[in-house]
Amino acid sequence: MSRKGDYTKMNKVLDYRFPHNVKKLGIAAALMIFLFLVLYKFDGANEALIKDFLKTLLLAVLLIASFSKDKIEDEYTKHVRYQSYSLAFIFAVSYAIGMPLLSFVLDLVISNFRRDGNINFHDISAFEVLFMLICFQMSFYAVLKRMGCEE
Amino acid sequence: MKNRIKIERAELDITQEELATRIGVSRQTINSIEKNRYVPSTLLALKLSALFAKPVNDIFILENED
Repeated sequence: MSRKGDYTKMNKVLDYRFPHNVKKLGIAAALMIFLFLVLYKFDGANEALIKDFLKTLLLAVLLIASFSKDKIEDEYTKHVRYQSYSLAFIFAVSYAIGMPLLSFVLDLVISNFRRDGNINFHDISAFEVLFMLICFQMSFYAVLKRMGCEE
Repeated sequence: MKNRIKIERAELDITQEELATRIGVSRQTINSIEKNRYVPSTLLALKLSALFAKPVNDIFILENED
């Protein structure tokens, strides 16, 4: 196949989005899973397998919601979506770098007061980074789109 | 780059919503273009040009800083 054909095919794949209804379903499912995870934690149950499964499921439904069409899909919504992905990437990487540093500094300050020398460098999990990445993307998308509506 | 979409729209006496429907985009897209927050693609510029029956250069005007 020609390069032009490959390029068109690639663009079609990149532009593919799930139907709009899937977005609402994805968000509803994500909220339910999140609530279940919170309740599961407070219930005292600590089955790692169930927690890991629910976390993976949460990421999957959030990704599906993020990959869904808007009510009216046009070039402006695509432009805003690409902007939101770029911003989310920058913020998620900053979060992955900043949060352990922040907790380290806080530990340093607290241990200075307590004089117990208990300082740790808290690592953040892949789930946390990916969860924040998708949440940042969806939030930026909503904010940037709303900015476009302002008179 | 500035544009005359709001003026052209007023001449045709159509709302942002009507214009958006006619060229198959959302009202937000028209609003963002009018407010110079978004530069449309060549395709959309040509659609606007056809609808207003004016050359693209008459609707979108380059400025010195462009």
